Amino acid sequence: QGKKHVFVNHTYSNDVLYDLVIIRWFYEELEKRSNGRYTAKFYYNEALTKAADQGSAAASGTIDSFFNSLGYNPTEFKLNRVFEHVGLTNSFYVQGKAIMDLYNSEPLIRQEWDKQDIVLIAPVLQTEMAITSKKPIRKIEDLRGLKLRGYAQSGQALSMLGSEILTIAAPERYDALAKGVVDGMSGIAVDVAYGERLHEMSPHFVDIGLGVYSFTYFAMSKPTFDSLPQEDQAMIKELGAEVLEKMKTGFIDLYKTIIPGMVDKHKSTFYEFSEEQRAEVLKIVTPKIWENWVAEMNKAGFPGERILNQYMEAVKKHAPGDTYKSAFAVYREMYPDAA
Amino acid sequence: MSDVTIGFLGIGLLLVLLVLRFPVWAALACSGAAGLTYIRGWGSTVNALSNGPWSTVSSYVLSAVPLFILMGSLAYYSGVTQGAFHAAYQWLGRLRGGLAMTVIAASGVFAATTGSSVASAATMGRVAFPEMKRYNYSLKLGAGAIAAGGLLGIMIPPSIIFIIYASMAEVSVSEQLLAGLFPGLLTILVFMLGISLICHIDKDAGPPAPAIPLRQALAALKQFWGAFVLMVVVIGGIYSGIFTPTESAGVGAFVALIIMVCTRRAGWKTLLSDIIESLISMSVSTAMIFALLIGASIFSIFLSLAGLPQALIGLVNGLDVSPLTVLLIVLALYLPIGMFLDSISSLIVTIPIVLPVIKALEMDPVWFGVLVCLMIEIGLLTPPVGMNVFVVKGTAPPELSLPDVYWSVIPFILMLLLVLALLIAFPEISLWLPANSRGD
Amino acid sequence: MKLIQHIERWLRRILLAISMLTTAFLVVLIPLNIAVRALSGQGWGASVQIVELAMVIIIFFALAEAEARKEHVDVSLFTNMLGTRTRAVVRFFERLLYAAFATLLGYYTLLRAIRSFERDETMWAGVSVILQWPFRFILPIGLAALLLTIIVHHFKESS
Ligand code: NA
Ligand code: NA
Repeated sequence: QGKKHVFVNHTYSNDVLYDLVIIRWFYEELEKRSNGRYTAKFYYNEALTKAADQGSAAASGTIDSFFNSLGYNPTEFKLNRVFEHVGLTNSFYVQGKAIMDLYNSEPLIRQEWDKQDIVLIAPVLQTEMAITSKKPIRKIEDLRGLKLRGYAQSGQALSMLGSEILTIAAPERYDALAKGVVDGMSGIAVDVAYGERLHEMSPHFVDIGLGVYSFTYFAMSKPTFDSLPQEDQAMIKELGAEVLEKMKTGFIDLYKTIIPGMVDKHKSTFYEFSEEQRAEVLKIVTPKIWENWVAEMNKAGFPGERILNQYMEAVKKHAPGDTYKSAFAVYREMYPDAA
Repeated sequence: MSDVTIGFLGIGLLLVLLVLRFPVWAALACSGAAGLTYIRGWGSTVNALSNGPWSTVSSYVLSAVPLFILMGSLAYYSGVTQGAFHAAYQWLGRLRGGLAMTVIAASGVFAATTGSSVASAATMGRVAFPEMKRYNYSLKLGAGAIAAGGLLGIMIPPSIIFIIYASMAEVSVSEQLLAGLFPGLLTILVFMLGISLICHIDKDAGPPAPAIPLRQALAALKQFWGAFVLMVVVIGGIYSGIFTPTESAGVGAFVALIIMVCTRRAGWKTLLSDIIESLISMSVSTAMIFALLIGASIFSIFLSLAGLPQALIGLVNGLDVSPLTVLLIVLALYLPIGMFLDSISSLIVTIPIVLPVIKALEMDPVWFGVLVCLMIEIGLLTPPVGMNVFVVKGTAPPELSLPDVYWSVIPFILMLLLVLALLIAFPEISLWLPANSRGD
Repeated sequence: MKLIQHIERWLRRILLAISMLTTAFLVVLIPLNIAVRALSGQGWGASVQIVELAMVIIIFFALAEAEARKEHVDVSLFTNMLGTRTRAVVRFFERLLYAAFATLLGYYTLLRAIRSFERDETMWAGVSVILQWPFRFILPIGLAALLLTIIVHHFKESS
């Protein structure tokens, strides 16, 4: 059998983004395990297609695999947005396990991928969605009146908590912070903020308890996937299943490496709301946001409540025994004396 | 056939279509689609045609393009250029070559209100040629100054070229815009010194005009106010961060509209028709620019898939020459390209190919953007297709032939090459301001 | 033929007018958004997406007018060297290919718009969701006008 190239499209160019490290690892492993039958060609900076069009580019055969965020295709993904609910879990590992459970067992969830002719290989997730800000945020009141870049459901959540949500185009994120158009960014993982140097201008990170609520994924073109021999398909799936484990240790190592520099150079702080504060946040935010989504799904003819419950069950199932340590936990361990 | 060979064949097809007078945007799209179909099948082409135009056009960052075009157009109709010309003349006219210097200074002022270069040259030609005839100026010197002065519009912020470059190179638009300010001012300085030198060698080229009383000269400064306000709004707004570049374009257009209403000399009817004219020329130019971007988006997918940028990087690495040599070779490529393509087309066609090379050499893309902009400026002066030369010829007195105008710009091309050398030797000229706009 | 010329001219002008009005709208919207943000601290959440959608209108509704005014850049240097007859033949095939390209682009963007309509396509605009599919139809409309302009103007030129 001849050598096969796999075309990978990337939205970003930033090498610091851990997701890219993972995807490169995935392909290195694939090359090794297939004895060099598969090699990947990477195309950065949306060279082959824009983020929102990646699914259709894969279906059409322009690209073989890609990394994307669910939010780019709200029309194609309705029920899958259940995985983007705030306040359900704080561990991307648990979220990822639950996603794969439902992807494999719930036909309605699966159908949204099949219809687009793409195959979910692995959730390549973001860690806890922090708020990065110019001034420390220590209590709910601190959020009031704060100008934050936000979007989608988490934006709605923060505006319920009194923040003013502004939409800033992604390329203007750094500028908007540098020039003080916003006081901070919501929904951003610590490593992503580090990669974009956002912590240089907004060094304070806080996790207010909205948890992980971003669903970013690594997917393959279904025509490409189906054209592969059975044993290769199995090999790819197996590798996909290893991604979450690999990320779990990888992220902890990454945070151990980058946090000291952020603290030393830019006086970064990492603060988690207490249990009571989290409960308070969720009391204000969650019932309404979940209900809105369920109502929206019902209107579209989908059993929103059932899917939400299924996801909650799956999260509950995978939570015990989870050994992931958040960036905040890593910080606490490294700086036990920090207030 | 290897993919790289296909890549070169695609470029060949592009050239053939261009020679047949196919519109550049459609030529880019068609040759891109043909290559894409060959490499990845018809489905890929269908996908690019179905989704590409939408994703290219629905861009928030690029919305600064139509708004800056509109701002320049409104400023033009409110007479900012004429005002700047007359005011600058009161100060510079008494010098040897003063009228040509006036053209450069006024073009520099107008540059701060417009994002492109053609409008400035056209207006300046209409205002300056009659004065030059009156004072027995060498029309050749004058034509060169008008054509070269127009170039300042694309270096001094705002600049359409820089906005498009920044979006292609994924650098901060505001930093790219600010990076052009000092190189633009340096260009003005070099042009002024160059004109002075020419007039001291050839004493008949630019006879000085009689001096003007200081009071009158001071009073003339009033005529700068419109341009000054726009400059503060655009450059100040971006530098201080009161608004993003996109927003400053919107505010700039709004302020230009207010200036236009305040300074109107004719009746409301004329005002309204001027506004409508501005809007029409904005819509049409914007459609033209984005059509090019749509074509380029399809062509660059094909180039990437063919692996041409990668092959070039490999070639460069294999050459074992210094990064500076590579940079000079890349910049030299813009001379032949600039002979045939207009400014935006040459940017759009080349950046997907050369930028990966520049990034692989770890050169600052913002700095490279400034250098490319300068090469594109030179392309606007070189035959056979020299946009600014055409425009100047259009407004020049009949005794000045097209070859005359081409000869007249040669000293200015040499001056631009001097500026280029300075910008390469001292990257700080370009990068100091954007670096200082960072942080709070 | 007269009727087609009439339709072409009016279609082109109406679309251009919409394109112009959309820009005028942006010129008011953007400063207003900044002013409101400065005064109340509350920006208009959806302004980014509104601007993006406006861009689609501004550009595609002015494509035909740009063609009619010969604004689309081409390189006429080489064809100018040909004899009149040869030039006319080259021009005919060039226009034919251009028209075919506009048709193809119009056709696939139309299919895309129909698919978008069938799925009731929406997009996130700040914290709310807005309908996207109606805007998808702007592309095929603008391209149809472009096609009409290419054809009508070629016959006007060569007759
Ligand atoms: Na300018
Ligand atoms: Na040229």
